[in-house]
Amino acid sequence: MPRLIPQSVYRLAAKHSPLLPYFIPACHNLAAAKQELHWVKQELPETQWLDAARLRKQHYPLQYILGTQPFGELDIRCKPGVLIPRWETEEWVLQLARVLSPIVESKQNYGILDLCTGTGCIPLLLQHELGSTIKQSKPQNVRTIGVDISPLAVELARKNSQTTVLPTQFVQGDVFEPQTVMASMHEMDFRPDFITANPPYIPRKQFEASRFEKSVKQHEPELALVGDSEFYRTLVEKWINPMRVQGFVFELGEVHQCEYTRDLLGNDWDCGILYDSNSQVRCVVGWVKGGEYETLRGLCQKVY
Amino acid sequence: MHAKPFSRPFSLALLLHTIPKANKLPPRPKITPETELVLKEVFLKGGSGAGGQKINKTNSKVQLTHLPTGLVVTNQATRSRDQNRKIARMILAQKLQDMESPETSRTAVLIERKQKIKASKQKGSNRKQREIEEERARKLAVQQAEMDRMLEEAGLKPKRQDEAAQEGIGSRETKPSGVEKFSRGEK
Repeated sequence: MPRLIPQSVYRLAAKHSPLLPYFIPACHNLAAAKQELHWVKQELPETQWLDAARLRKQHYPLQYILGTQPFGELDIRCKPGVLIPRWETEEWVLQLARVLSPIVESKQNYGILDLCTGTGCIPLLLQHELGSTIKQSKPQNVRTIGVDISPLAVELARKNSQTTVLPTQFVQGDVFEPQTVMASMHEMDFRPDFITANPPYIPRKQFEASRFEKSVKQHEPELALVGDSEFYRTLVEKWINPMRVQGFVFELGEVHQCEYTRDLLGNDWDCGILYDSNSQVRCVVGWVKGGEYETLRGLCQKVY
Repeated sequence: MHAKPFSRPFSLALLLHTIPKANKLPPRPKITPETELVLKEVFLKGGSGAGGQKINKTNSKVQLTHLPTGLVVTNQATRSRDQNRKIARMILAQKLQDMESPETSRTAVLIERKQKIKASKQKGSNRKQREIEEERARKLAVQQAEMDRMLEEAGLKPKRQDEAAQEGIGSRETKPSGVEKFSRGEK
């Protein structure tokens, strides 16, 4: 989104604080820049302010500079090489937790599997929202496991489960090669009841376009961003069907990815589209007809 | 010095008693589940339509509208949308309480408390000012007496202050410097 910022904005910013002009290119306007500078000053020691400002001028993501991104009630650690959790994901995960909550409560054991997990934000937040806390002294009946192909992501995700004090476990593995992951899940005595995923879903063409956001293209891992229908095919054919899971939510960015997923599902499935609060297509939600996951219908603004 | 508190046994203690302690203030009002039903919540994004993995936003602004009254609250104080939502609800609940019961609302109590604290501080500083002035006057009297004694010893008749003032510039040197300072300060 190349947009020319008038010189006057930089001058105004400089009047306010010598560090503020550095934030203008990434923030576009004064108010947003002031806010970012405020957070930098709040969260980092003074000796790091100038370095932070210089990095931000290069469109380096603020979350990598500060080291965290709030996600629901959690603070998720972020590191270069691993995708930063998005607010859209936070939104649907919280909605999903509300729908799953009564189902989870009625079960002795409940397993949730998250594929392409990255920082581990999705299974961690689900564990936080659905699992019982130490205070409640109820036995933990929810188990969550995250899978990612990147060793860097798995390492960070494990750190995140430590800092958030949640029992979520992480396995390194490729979604296109489910055998090894399934073997280690079997070893861990884990069987998923529900699957979530936030696979890379930006079509190559869009990613290469010149107007694609700089901060994302230059500093976030392409591995976690560029992908298309092939991921939804493997998710349905190699995970949903063989594991006999009754419901799923996959994040996506394009309507055609939704339709593609719908066409892969058998006649015994219903599915719909979840839109985010920015009115963009965000997830495809699927459930077995007449089963206990009929309530997932409530998440969808459009049901096929 | 030790005797001073006993000389005004009622003033400060009584006043302090009526200021509610910070931890004894009325609780912050909360949004009830019924109110939650008549709220409209919007997340303001700005910028282009794309989202998800394509954009990395750092801020999240929450806008709450209370439909029956039309009250609008926006908040983007923190990086966490969850926090911003909670803060927006807190602010809205307070605004609603202010509207419903302006005399007894938490804000009214807070304002009253602030005023009381200010008054009490003012009283304290007034007293301090008075003490300083008394001290200054006492020192001045001692100085004056000293000067008179010296003049008398030198065989000169000490002049009275008002007489000296009438004589004008010429007589200034004989006047103790402290007098002038003090009279200027008093104006």
